[in-house]
Amino acid sequence: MQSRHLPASGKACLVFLAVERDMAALRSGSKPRITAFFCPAATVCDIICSLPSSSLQNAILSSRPGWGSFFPDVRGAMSNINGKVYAMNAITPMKPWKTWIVRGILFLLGHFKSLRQDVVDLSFIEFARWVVLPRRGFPFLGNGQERENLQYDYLLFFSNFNGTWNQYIDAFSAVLSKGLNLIWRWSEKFPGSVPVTNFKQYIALLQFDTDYYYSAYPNAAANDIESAHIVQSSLDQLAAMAERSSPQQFADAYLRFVLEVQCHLGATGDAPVAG
Amino acid sequence: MSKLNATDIQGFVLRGYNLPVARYLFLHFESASRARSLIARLLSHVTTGQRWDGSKPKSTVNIAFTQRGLVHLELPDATLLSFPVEFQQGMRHRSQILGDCGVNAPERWEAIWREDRVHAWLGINALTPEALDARCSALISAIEETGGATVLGSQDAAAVVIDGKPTTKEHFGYTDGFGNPDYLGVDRSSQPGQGKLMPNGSWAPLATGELLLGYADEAGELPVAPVPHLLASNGTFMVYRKLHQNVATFRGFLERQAAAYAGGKEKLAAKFIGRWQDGTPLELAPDNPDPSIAQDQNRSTNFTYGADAEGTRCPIGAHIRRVHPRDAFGFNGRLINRRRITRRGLPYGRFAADGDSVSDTEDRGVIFMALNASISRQFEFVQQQWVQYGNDSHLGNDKDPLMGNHGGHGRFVVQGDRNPANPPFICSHLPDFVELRGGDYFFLPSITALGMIAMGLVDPR
Amino acid sequence: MPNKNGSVYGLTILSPIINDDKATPSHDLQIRDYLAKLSTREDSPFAVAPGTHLARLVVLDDVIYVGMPACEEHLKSKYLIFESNCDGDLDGYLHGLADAIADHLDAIWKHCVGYPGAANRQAFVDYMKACQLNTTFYFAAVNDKSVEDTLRALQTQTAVADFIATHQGNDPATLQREFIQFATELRARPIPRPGSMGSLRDIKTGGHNE
Repeated sequence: MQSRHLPASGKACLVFLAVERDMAALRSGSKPRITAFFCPAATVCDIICSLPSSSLQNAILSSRPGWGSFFPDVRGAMSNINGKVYAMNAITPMKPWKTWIVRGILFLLGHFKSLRQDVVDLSFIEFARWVVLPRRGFPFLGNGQERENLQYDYLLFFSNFNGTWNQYIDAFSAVLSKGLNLIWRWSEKFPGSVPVTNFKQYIALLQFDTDYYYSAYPNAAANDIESAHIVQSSLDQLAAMAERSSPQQFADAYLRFVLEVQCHLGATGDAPVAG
Repeated sequence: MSKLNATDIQGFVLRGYNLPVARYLFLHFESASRARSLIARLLSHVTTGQRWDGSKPKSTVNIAFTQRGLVHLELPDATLLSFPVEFQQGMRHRSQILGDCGVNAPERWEAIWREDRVHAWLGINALTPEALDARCSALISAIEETGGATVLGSQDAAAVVIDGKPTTKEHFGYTDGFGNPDYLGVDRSSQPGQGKLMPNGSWAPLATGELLLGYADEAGELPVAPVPHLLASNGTFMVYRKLHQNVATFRGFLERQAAAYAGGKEKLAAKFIGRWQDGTPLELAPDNPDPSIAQDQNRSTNFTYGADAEGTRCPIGAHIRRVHPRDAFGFNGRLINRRRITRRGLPYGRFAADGDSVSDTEDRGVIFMALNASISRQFEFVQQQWVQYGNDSHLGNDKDPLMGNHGGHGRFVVQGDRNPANPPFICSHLPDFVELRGGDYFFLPSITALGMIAMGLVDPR
Repeated sequence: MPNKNGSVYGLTILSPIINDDKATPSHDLQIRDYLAKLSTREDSPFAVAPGTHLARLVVLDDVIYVGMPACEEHLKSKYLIFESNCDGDLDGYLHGLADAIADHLDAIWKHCVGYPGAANRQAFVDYMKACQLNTTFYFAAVNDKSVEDTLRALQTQTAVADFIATHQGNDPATLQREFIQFATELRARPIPRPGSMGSLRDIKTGGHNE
């Protein structure tokens, strides 16, 4: 059972589990013991319940390649997230004649800063990219590999963002729906980025999970990094004049320094637990 | 949109009653059939949202259920499974997400909340303690006669009385009660600043579906809701949290920090919350409290942060700025319209005026109740991302100064300017001013839904 | 230039995975297994090799069938995606990987078609370029700071916050003296290792239980 064919939303994932539960156990009010399970559709399924039906438990365990054991830190399940950053991967099919439109739009987006301003203002994306993968563009290296024979071109999307999956999609749907629609309406069966529930179901369908995710600074979000650079720059300027000024001159410069950095002193550390 | 049928909606959802005393009873069901006959009996007590022409009733009654309560009422499985994940789990199992760790951890909660035994909340508000007792006796009789439930415990709460009059003050000394949103169709005196910000700078009511299930919400759709539609419609979800307040710690901390802060103690206290102790918003009156603003409904909530991007008037991490950012995140406030909650609740415990001796071990605090159409999208989001964390305001891991679970390590930056009475200032080693003593997630059904539950007539299709 | 944004490079590599029915477990599962056990912290291969801000490795099993009226189709091979956000130019980065973490590269990519091994540098670079996809649109929030710059700035931010907090109310002479000492010491401090988390505290922020 591949990850993409599991139910689309976190909610559906819970139903999938719970329907198999013993209803009598529910009624008797027995307390669920808590173990970790991440919905491979990478939505909010941080469900922790013990399954009375061990055959179901085994079925889930053996279906997911790469899972060694059923513990909260199981690598396969957690690897979409590293510290404060989330790795989303998505692939959508496009009829080849539409690919040129998407290329044109992405070209404009790349060349006109004003088109990107809203994304910059949202400030929770560290790095993101779109990759047009034409149907004949899959690398072919011979050596026994079969050549792909596809009807659709594909659009790959990779994002490194801060915050939860729901928060990310809610934000884009709320303020950037036109831009999203412009890029993704050429993908088959795209439902539009508003209303958000259908949009989330579509994303969950075409999102696939990260197997390994590295960040050089996992305990810092995009905002933290931007703030850090501001603090470094202000500090360098103050340090440059510190030695050759009088105490009073320094005190003035120090106040100016503190005012420059006072909005940029947030601590770095762990991210909130995804929920 | 359709006009709201106030007689089908529990009054507690549509308005704060402004009745000064309350008692909350927590019930546990054994037999489903007896529990249902109890609910049928209670139906005649439940206060609806109908307007009171003339005088207020002396007391009101409202009821809500946890997931376990609904299970014990033997609602159909498909209905039970269609409730949102967070509601099914209950608040205790969401502790990691909410930051309920350390002093707030469920292991330290009151016994009644540690064991997932609370099935229903019965909220009684009253004009006087006598009216409260009278109404509670009537309810207890109904409970005993039907044998429908056991009462696990109760919680009393009351408005702080100063000079013989009930006020909206809470135990730290702040004036509360400003933050509730306006919703479309909900008939209450609306104030500019309560709703959502429009591009022209005016305020409009929020979509009804942010509070009530079954109505369009701010995302242009019906909020995700349990099935059947009739069970969920006109209902909402309620978060109940008993928050103990460490008033001695707070006063001591403020005293010590204020000694080093050039703006003085009153101002520093205002910087924590974003309002002076009388309720004047810092954004409108950064130097001194101003009763003419605090008491004017057209002004007391009517402000934005756009002109104060640096936080020099109201600090970026101040409590009200965190929980209702208004336009602080740009995009005309569109990012926050689905993160609003309606707050009900009252303080509990003996009020100690400034100067009275006070100890943290005394039982006092606030019963915090939040009403919203989606617990995870609204309350939990605000708690997790804006109270226990600060990334959206570019404050990294810094937490809400008053509500955060600091554990002695917290930091609060008061942004300032060149005015010597408003210097930049950092408070360090913040302790826990507030401790969670328990609570849970509840579903507050409509009157129709209560009837369906009482008669066992819920059909999920 | 699409692959680049300022001084950061958006590298997208799509490597076909060997399709061998007789391999047990199959090559894609072997890759997944290896990745599942690989550290993502300061001992990650990408922390050891220079220049990686953020990187991911993803096994693409198949394309998606989105439902009628779209057609159903399938890939003939599985693919290994390597998405990296790195400093410098492509050749420098690839050589840096081959120099520092050849074992890991081989362990992962030996399951891919036509992989020559990292020992032969030129063949390795040619292989990677043969598998490279053009990054059509590349966004970077910060596109002019290296990994080292960023780690240094984060260390500075924490140190500055502490300094300001502990020197409130100092007289100007003391402040100046202490600051000069602070700045000197901070400049001499080694930068934190890439991939290392912040220091542990009694209560972890954001809700992880102790």
